[in-house]
Formats: sequence, structure tokens, C-alpha cells
Amino acid sequence: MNVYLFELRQQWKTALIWTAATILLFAFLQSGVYPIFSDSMIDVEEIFRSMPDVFLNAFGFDISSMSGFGEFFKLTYLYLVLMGAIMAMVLSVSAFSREKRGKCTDFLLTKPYSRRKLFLMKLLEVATQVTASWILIFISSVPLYLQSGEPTEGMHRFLLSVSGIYFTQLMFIGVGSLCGIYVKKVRSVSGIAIAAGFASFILTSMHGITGEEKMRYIAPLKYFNPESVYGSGGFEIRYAAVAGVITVACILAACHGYCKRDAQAV
Amino acid sequence: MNTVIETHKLTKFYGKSRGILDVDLSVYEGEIFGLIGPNGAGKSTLIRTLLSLIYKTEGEATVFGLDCHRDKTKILEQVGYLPGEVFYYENMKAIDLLRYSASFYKRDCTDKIQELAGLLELDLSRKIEDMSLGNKKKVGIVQGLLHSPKLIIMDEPTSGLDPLMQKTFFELIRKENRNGATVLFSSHILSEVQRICSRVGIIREGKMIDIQKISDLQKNTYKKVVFSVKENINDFVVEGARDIAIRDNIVSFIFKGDCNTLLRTISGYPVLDVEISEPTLDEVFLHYYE
Repeated sequence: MNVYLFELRQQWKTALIWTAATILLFAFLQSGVYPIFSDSMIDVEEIFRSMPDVFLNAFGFDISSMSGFGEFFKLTYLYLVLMGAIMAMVLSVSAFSREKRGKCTDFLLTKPYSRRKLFLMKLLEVATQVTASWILIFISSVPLYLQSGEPTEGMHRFLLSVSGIYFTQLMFIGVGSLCGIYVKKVRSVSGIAIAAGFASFILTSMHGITGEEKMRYIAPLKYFNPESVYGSGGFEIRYAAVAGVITVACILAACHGYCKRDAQAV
Repeated sequence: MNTVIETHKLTKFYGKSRGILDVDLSVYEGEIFGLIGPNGAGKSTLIRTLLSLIYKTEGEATVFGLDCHRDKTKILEQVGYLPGEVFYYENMKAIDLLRYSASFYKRDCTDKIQELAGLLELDLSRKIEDMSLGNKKKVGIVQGLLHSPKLIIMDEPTSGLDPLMQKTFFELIRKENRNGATVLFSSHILSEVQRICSRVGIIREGKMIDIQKISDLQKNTYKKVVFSVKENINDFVVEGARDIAIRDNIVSFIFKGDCNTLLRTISGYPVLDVEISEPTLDEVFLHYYE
């Protein structure tokens, strides 16, 4: 467990900062912006109606469903899940490229541990940080819902929607591990993470702009869409399955690369 | 004598580029074996293949009788490695890195860390990134030896160390060797090999072209001959001589062959002075690289 604990020590501050930022943004939007938003709903709708549909669809604004705490969350979800995805990428790319960035791959790989064990310890560490972060976000979302004045019967849907962030993060841990291992020179962890987040956002916006259902298969930030939770009471199996396949495929490919590739000489 | 490292036709290609070709090598328990060759000859490739940092293309390699890839973890429990260039994690103090390194082995390495740090005059409380190249190298030496390995593998170990520290380093390696450790190290500085090794493997363009005892190389093989003559001399030929240089009535060359023939040939000239000495290893090995 020494590699796991070492990675945990290296990354906990980053994870904490991202978690705090996500919770603050969440609280700011749901209890700071939402009351203002709902008080002046008519004006807001008027402003949005004056905007082109392409713009509204690209940024996930659905005028027909903006009233209500849950509806407003559907609007903010895209930005919260984007933050979560970038956080998962940062932690994953950082853990899997740490030795490459420090030019000390030889140090770790000449220790009496198999490469698979090293990979699993790093993966477990990133999963732990993301899970701990999600638990804090999940817990903090309860008072946010309760103070909104919405009926408590609807809370489970809200909490399930919040969990969508976590499941998306798990997928991005896989993508991050792949990037951390296969990108030859990792000059900036945050650069890779933001680029991946931005690319995901564009793909997700493409679905919004075109409105084509097929495009949702390549819209990673909408695989666990809160709209389906509010509509059918759960996530859509086919998109959850796509996310699962991407996660597993990325992790397997990353593990293969970590175990089978030659260690780069300094 | 037990064989610690054994390779048979070990070959490594990086895509189409040659790393090492058909390397046959045996390193025996308790010996200090040197790998000599110019930059790019394949020394590091051989070492990195033995350590399973890179994967062989063909051939076999065993360490302690175990396959160097399949049984990597078992082997590495008993191996200490010092790379040519030392880099470690950012923002770490030397002591933290050494504790992390020690955590991979099933033994308490605290005393050994302190002993080695004392011997190398290394301040363990400093951050590694703030250290000089020499001090970083010392951290590398300590992390390579802290678990008292049975096999020490070093790649160009003395770069960055001042002459005094090199002396201390070689004493340390000799001490580990006396305590039972087998040592394999690569260098392109021949005097290093001369100082410490019992045998040497000469590697060139990926091939192991010769393996010899240092003593054999120095005593029985080559002589350095320098003689001066009274008159101008334009040409000098004797069987077994190479690198013949004639300047200001002084003839110098490296000789391997029948000493009687040499003396008879030289006596044919009006000799003023003659000196026959042991050549340096650089001079001995030069012909391998031609």
C-alpha cells in the first residue's frame, strides 16, 4: 500500500481544492443564483427567448423547463459535471504521469513490485480521492435541497442526479489514465485535463445544437443526464453502458500500456 | 562459481534501431564486472533490459537463475540500481525519498540510510531539487544501496562526483562487494574500470566484442613502446605494432607480439633511449573501436 499512500499524500490537496471549488460553485448556483433566477423568471425567460436557439442549445439552456429547483439543477449540471470531469482528469493524469514528469520512471520500475500492482495502486488512489470528493459533494447537496423548500419526496431524484457527476468522473479517471500513460511528454497536467474537458463540452454542445439523438453517444457529459432521472426516475441504460464500456476500455488500454511498454530513458 | 547474471543472444531493437545484438554475458557471484564502451554502444540498453525497464526482442536473460522479465519482482528484491542521471520527485526531501524507497523492501533500512548518508556527507533534510548534481547522485547511491542488495547495477555511476567523493564511492562499492554483493557497472571512463573491476566486457555497436580479466589485459596483452634514435627515421615496421607515430626522432607504438622480434627490430636502429611500459586501458581498448 506504500505507493497508494504516497500518491494519496501527493494529491490530497489538489483533490480538496477541487472539491471545495465544486461545492462552492454548487452552493452559489443552487442557493445564491437560483432564488434570484426564480424570482425574476419572466424577465429571464424573455432574455433567453431573445437569444438564438443554437446558442441556448449549445450551453444547455432549456427555456421550457427552468422553473423549479430540480429544473434549475438540470441547467447547472453541465457546468458542475464539467468541473468534476476536469478534476478526475487532473488527478488521474497527474498520478499516471508522475514519474514521467519527474523523469524518475526508473526509480519506481526498479522496485520489487510488478507494473500491474503499481498501476492498480495508482488507480485505486485516484478512485479513492474522487469517491471521497463525491461523498462530500453528495452530503453538501442535502442541505442545499432542504433549504430550497422543495418537497422532500423529490430529494432522491435530486441526489441521484448529483451522483451522475460521480459516474462521469469515473469515466474520466479512465480517460486520464490513458492520457497519463500514452502522452509522450506531459508538460502540463492541468493543460491536458482542461483540453479534455473542453473537448467533452464541445461534443456535448454538438448534441444540444443538432438535437440528434445519435450525437448523444459522443456527448460524454450527458451520459448521466439529470433530465432522464427527473423524467424516468433513473439513468438511461444505453448511455450508462457506453460510459461503462469507455471506462473499462480506457483502463484496460492504460494498464496494457503501463505494463508492456518500454520505460523511456531519461 | 555461481552465475548471477547470464544472457544468451540477448537482443533489443527499438523499432528498427539497434540497441544490443546477440549479447552473451556471464557475471559471477562476488565479482565486480565492468561494461566499457563509447556512448551509444548499448551499455545502458543491456542494463535496462536486465532490470526489465525495457523488453528484450530476442534471446534470454537470467538474474540469480530467474528470468529477468517473468520473475522481475523476485529479482528486484535483491537488486540495487543507480541510474546514470538521477532524477526524483519534485518537492521531496532526501530523507522522504529514501524512506519511500525503503518501504518497498521487507526490512528496516534506517540504520543503513544513516550510515551511507554519513559516509557520503549527505544532508538528508534538504530538498532534492535544491541539491547540486553531485549531491543528487549521492541520494541515488544511498537509495540504490539502502537495502543491502546482493546485486548492484550502476550505469555511469561517478558522473557528477568530485574525485574525493569518487574515491569514497569506490571504497563503498568495494565494501559492499566484500560483504558479498556482485557488482555490474557501465562506464566509458576506463580508469574507473581499471580501479575497481575484476573483469570487463567491451561493447561496441550493440555487440559484446570481448570479455577479459583486467589483469590479463594489462599484463599479457599490450605494451607501450617509445624509443628515440640519433638520426632521422622515416619509417618503422614491426609485426604486432599499431598506432605507430614518428615525431622528432621519437617512435612510439602499441605492441602485441613476440618480444624478441621487437627487440631485434629496434636494435637495428641507432637507439638513444627506449621505454617499454604498460599501456593505459584507453590505449588498449582503442583498437576495438576502430
